[in-house]
Amino acid sequence: MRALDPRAAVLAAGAYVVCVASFPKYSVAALAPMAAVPIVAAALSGMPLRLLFRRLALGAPFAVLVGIANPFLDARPYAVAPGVEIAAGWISFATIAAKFLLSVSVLVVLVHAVPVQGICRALRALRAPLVLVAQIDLLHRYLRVLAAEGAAMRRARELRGGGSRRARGGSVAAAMLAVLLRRTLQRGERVHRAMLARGFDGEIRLAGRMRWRPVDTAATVGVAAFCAAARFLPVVEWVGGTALG
Amino acid sequence: MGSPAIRLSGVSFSYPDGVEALRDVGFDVAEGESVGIVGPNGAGKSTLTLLLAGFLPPRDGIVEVAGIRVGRSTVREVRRRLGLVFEDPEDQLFMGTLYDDVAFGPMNMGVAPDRVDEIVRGTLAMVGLDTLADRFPGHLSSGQKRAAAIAAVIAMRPAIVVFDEPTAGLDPRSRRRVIEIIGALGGSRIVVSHDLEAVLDCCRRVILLDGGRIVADGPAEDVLSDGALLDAHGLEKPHSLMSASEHRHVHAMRLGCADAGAPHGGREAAGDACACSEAGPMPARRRATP
Repeated sequence: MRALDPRAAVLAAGAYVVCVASFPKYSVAALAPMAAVPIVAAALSGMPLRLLFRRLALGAPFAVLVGIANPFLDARPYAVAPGVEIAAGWISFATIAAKFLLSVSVLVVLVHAVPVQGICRALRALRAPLVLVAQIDLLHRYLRVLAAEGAAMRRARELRGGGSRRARGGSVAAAMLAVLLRRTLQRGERVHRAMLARGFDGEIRLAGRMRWRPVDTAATVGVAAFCAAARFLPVVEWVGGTALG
Repeated sequence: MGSPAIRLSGVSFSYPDGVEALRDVGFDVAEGESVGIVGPNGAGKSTLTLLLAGFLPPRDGIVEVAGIRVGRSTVREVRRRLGLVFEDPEDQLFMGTLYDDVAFGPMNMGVAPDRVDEIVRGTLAMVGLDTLADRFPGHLSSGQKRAAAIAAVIAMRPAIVVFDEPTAGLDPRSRRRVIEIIGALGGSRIVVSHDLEAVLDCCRRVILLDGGRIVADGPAEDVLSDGALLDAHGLEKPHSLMSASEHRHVHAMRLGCADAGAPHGGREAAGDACACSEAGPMPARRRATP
């Protein structure tokens, strides 16, 4: 996946996300084959699955938050498991969570395999609005600055506070957060100045040309075809039928 | 005769909190001239660099770069001609690879991609980083980061380069390398620094700023060998310009010798030397001619 043209990677990921989003709201089982794409992509780009799951765990609360009201709003019975009646809301909740996690997982693998600047460049080449692309690129830079400043402050606290409860207390954390934001903003301003000094006009241009090769076409078409098959063909029933003889 | 590379006339600047950083500053820098700007902390040196690059507007006075008056409408043109190497290279290196960082400026100037490749590789070779083109800039050493920040600016081929504290925080070898890179550059150079030895190596002329005012402007050796002037403005005479007795005095001060209380030159004037003087005279240092 690392060897792909960033446009191919972005197009394939985009097709996947659109396809996942298009599944009906009670078709949680039909989404199962879609999990193959992020898993294979992670393997091809050398991303350990444990790292992928750790990243997904960070997004999991949002997935829960989005659909948590469904079981209460849609309580009509939808399916019956042995001895248990399952409300439609639980099925739609599971579908939303699965869609969220699948979409995020493919984006996590994309960001792991393709540098953010390459993704932004691909988005520009695919005619995404400059404002959107610049926001993604600058947000990424700002997060890096934030992380670096945060790590430095944490080290300073550890050195002077040891493991004391006071050093880890809420008031210290609040003060650190305020200082962190201020320092990050100042650093962000300095970085922005450095960019302006070198002719930055809102668009980040990268040297070198992107090269679209047959393998890019094959990867994009392959992912799109797989997604279409999983979406419109009864893959789960076939697999289930085959497994049960 | 053409216009100077840089002209400041009656420039004053105050920050929003009322701190007056520059007061009636005026000087010219000729094309190809190398000028050091020195002064204690808070003298207004960094503010001056930001004014030159059009990041701050002067409250009064005129700033001209390559004959262009610096203002909101001309700032892009000014920045094509004047490159600014920031004090902290971490602020200047923001791309994913060193190659992309050095290419950033030329790409924004609309240079053709093939030519950009040539420029980037040539510039990286010039600063000795050609083998590190694909590295993430954050993983370079401090000296390499500094060289990379310089490469990122000189890749734009500016007629004037302003260096803000280019040798700060470097080990001796990296410091020497940066001084050599600055010395090898063509065009006009302004070196803003506390490192007077580096200024002496890179610049023929020195402007001493203090309290936002110019207090001295002249040949580097003249200004930097005036111990009393430097003392009065919180600076120290560079070692390479010290006499043998001044060296002995400084050495004694470091060892805490009771005899060393006299100000620089005091004992020398009395024809005496500090009693704690095993160090002997320092050998004359090789100077890199700019």
